[in-house]
Amino acid sequence: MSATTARGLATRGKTLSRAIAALGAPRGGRTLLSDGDAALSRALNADLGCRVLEDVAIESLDAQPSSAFDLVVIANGCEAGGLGQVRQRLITAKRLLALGGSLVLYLPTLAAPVSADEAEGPVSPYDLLLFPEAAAAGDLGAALAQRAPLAASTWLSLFHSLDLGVVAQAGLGAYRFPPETLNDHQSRLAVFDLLELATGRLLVILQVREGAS
Amino acid sequence: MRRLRQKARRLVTDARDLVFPEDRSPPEVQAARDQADRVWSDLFAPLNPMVDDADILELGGHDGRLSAARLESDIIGGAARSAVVLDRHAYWAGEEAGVAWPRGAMPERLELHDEMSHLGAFDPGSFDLILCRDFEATFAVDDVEDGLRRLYDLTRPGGEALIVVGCADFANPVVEGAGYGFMTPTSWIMLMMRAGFEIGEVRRIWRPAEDAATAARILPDASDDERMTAQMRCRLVRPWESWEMDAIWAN
Repeated sequence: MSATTARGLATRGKTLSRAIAALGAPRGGRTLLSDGDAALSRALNADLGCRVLEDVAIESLDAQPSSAFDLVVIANGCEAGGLGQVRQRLITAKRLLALGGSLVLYLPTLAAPVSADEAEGPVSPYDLLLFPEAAAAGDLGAALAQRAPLAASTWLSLFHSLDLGVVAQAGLGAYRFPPETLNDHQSRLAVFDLLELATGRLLVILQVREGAS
Repeated sequence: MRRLRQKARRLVTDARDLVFPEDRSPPEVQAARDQADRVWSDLFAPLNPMVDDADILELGGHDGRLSAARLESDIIGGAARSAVVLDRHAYWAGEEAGVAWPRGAMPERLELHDEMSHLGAFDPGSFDLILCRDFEATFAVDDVEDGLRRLYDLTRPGGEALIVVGCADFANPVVEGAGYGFMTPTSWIMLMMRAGFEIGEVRRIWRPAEDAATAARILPDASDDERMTAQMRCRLVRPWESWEMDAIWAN
């Protein structure tokens, strides 16, 4: 890992941890971090007093014990795979929560700009949105081919369908999609709901709704 | 004189049958046909598909009558060339409380299959028109992306797929139900585009007004279009890919 990448991760980890704390995530609990990194783990410990018991890859969530964590943070990769996989991942994450526990997700919507480190080769921030068939075919890299391209409303609807209530969120409707991109690609983007393009990345704290199993 | 009168009567009867043909099929068969006509008029006809001389694939086509009617020569807009109908339940044999086809009534150019796995048996680009009146009943949530991609592959360049999809029913969000319990319009459109389709037309069916408050509570920042769409009837176009255009030029 280059020094620049390490610095970038450290900065991102601190920023994300502070954002999670600012949203009111519970403090001091048993925490599972998924697809985070050492920097985020340290920052969560400093900002929330969390005891990060595990930092596991997203594929290993299923192997974790049920009802064992007060806080589950999925920092990356919740959106990987098809609709069925994404839905199943949330069901798994819900299973890991102790009674009253919180699930924190940091998610890109279909309108989230693509960063250079997510793509293989040169890519403009909105290629995923403008050229979805190329993205699905892997022309923008393996990671983007695997990203479920869900709108913010679909994510919220998915949480609702799984009895996960939104306790706090940041990012919903807060993104300003560049008007020049809208203008330049009018015919391509006209099929999408413009309000859905107003959410890039979404940070949510979820809890199992009262009365839900 | 009597023979002349009989001849005249027969002539008049034949002429009437020609102009106003009488359906002599049993009432339940005629009822099934009428129902299929209503489905066509309601779901697909407003999307103005190209039926004339088309090879049709219909998924979840119940007893096949809707596609069978497209093969008849007297329909407006021209008749289809052939039709293949796939459904998990053999409605045409009288299963699932469907009306069984009477022996000999099934058009020769209609194929019926009760295994969805048959979808893998066709060559790419086999169909001009694909009809799917209930996408979620045809493909499980784990198969959505592969299903859409398969439909794209089976459509000829320039062909169309008419697909009806549901959007999440917020009051009863179940994975076996509309939109798998969570899909909303923008994500549906994105998935169809990821499969390669271009969006020709989308017609929306709206939720009842009394659902507006629930929808607004669950999707507070969404547009009315996004949260109040209950169903989308989509005309998807399979575009010519650049290598296909090149192949035409090369030939």
